[in-house]
Amino acid sequence: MKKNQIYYHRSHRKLTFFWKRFTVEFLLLVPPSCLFVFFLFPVLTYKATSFIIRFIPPENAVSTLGITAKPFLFSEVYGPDLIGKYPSPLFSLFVFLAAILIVFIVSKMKIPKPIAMWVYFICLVHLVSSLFFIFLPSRFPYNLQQFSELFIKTEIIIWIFIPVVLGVSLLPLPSSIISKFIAVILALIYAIVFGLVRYVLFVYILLKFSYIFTAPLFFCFGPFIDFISIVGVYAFYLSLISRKINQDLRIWSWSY
Amino acid sequence: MELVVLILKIYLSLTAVIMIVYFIRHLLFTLNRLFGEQRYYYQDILDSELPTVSVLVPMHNEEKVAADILDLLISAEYPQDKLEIIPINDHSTDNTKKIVNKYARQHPIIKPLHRTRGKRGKPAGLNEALKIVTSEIVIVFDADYLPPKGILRDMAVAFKDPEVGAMMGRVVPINTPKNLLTRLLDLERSSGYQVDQQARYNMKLIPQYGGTVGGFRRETFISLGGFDEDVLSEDTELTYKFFVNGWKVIYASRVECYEEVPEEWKSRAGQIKRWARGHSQVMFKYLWPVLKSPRISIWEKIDGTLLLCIYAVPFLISIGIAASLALFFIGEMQIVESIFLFFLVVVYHTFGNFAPFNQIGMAALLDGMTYRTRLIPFIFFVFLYNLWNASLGFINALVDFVSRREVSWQKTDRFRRKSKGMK
Repeated sequence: MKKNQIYYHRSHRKLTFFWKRFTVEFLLLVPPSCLFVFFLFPVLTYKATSFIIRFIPPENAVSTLGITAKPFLFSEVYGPDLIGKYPSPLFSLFVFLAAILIVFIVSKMKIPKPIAMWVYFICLVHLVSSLFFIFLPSRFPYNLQQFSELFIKTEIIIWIFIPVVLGVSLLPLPSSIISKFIAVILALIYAIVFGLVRYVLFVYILLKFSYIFTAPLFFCFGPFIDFISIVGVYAFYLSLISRKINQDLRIWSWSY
Repeated sequence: MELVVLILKIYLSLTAVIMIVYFIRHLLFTLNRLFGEQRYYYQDILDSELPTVSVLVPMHNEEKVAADILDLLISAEYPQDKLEIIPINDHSTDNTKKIVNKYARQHPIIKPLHRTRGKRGKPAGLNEALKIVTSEIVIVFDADYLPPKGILRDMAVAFKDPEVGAMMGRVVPINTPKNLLTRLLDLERSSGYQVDQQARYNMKLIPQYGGTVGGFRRETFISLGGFDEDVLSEDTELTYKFFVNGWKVIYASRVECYEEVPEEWKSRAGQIKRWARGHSQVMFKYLWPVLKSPRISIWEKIDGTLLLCIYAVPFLISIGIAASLALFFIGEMQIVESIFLFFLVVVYHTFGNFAPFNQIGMAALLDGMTYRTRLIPFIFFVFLYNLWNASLGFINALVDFVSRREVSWQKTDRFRRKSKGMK
């Protein structure tokens, strides 16, 4: 078969790093995105908290406003000033038995082991939490306000780091600055929306179904989950770039 | 209780620091491979004075794959008067012996070694084969590998350099399209060879001999004591044995060979456990020799130490998750509430493959993968699985080290249909 073009072999092909371009793009993208989060999070947390408060029965509110402000990153983060629900011993026992039952069922099912491992992990956290509430309910160190503060602060840190992590990962790639900016901004917006939705949902779950789910929500559906979307955006963008540049000899260098 | 909290906090902080160190290491590897000057292997050297070569192929119940590799090695285009192929039939109970003997009758360069006594396992088999080998260079292939034409010449030419003690080629999965696991393993292999191994070679650190698609100097290795038969990762042991004695191990990215990766999660678990256990056995044995060796540069020592300890990290993380759960219920989450937790998650999220996600992504880009890169987020799902199995392997190695118990070899399952030698 006749070859019109001989491409570089994958073993020693490489890209060229443009320091100046990278620095300019980094400065244009990352600090403004971080500042955007920095200035926006008080408003966002206030709006999310107001949304929560609107649907909460008045007996759960501690203060008249139902919103509390805590200092964070030279500003304030808002959260619901609410009283959550402690699980009854019977409910704790139910969660304990349900977790064991799920572990047993999953161990008998033919599902891929990595998925089974995640189910085991989620059940393990439920087991620990239920045991804690069976034996030491009065020692539980959080109320709803403290937990929501812990969760939202972690989320804000993740939001601030998304432009940094994706910026460092995407900006050196040979593609247009606009497309990289769109990818990073989309990832950031998704993380903010998804984070706030979970924030509201978590508060609702803790109010409705008790503090027994505090640890599972934080350890299993907290920051871990955020990372999937960050990597997802990166991977999708990479697949598009790879397809575009794969056979473009102007982009690839050889060895040096 | 205050003391417990303090210990847990110190532990988590140290674990976070270790993770950041590994993150920086892999970031440097990625940047070096993507943008740095690439160090060539010796494949462009043409020399008619090639060394004598013995190709060792350890086989334990390999009837599905034995004929394929023997066919390919016979036609591998190396001078026949300088080549011998030694299939090591290691206590097989299937038709491996029959297949190997059939090939030996047809091809005089195939000289089988049938082992029915002594300790079973790859290191023991290789040691026994080294006693009958006379060639200058020994090249090893696992039985499921498919060596292409010219590969033996490309591998042997490295030993023209008198500093080279061992060399390692690149492993490429052949059964990638089979299922999600094989596709993820393809991404993992890509990251490990395209970025990790090549960057370590570029940066004159410690590229690793991988136990297959690799070769070494026979006499030198025998003089260094041969393989320790109680170590499950004979490849890692060989790497460090050469380095601490002043020899170099080099990596040949251009020398590619196809392999069959596990197609079932159970086999994959066994593979991770064996690698983690064997690698950690080498860590216990070579950590101090690496640190005190006068023949290794400071950067080689740093990289060598980090490489040795890499399978201890999943175990540290497992304990870290338990510690953070304990701190959560004690009400002392401040330490993991922000930046620490973020690093814990970000850096080690994709550590099922011992590499951050962007290293895997860049390796895939360099390899020309397109749509397959979209599977990178799925590595999240194997994170706990790998963490668990690697931790078990590490614990086993720890027990091996303390109790001095004897270990037995577990080979990885093969998935290929029975090859033509079975007909």
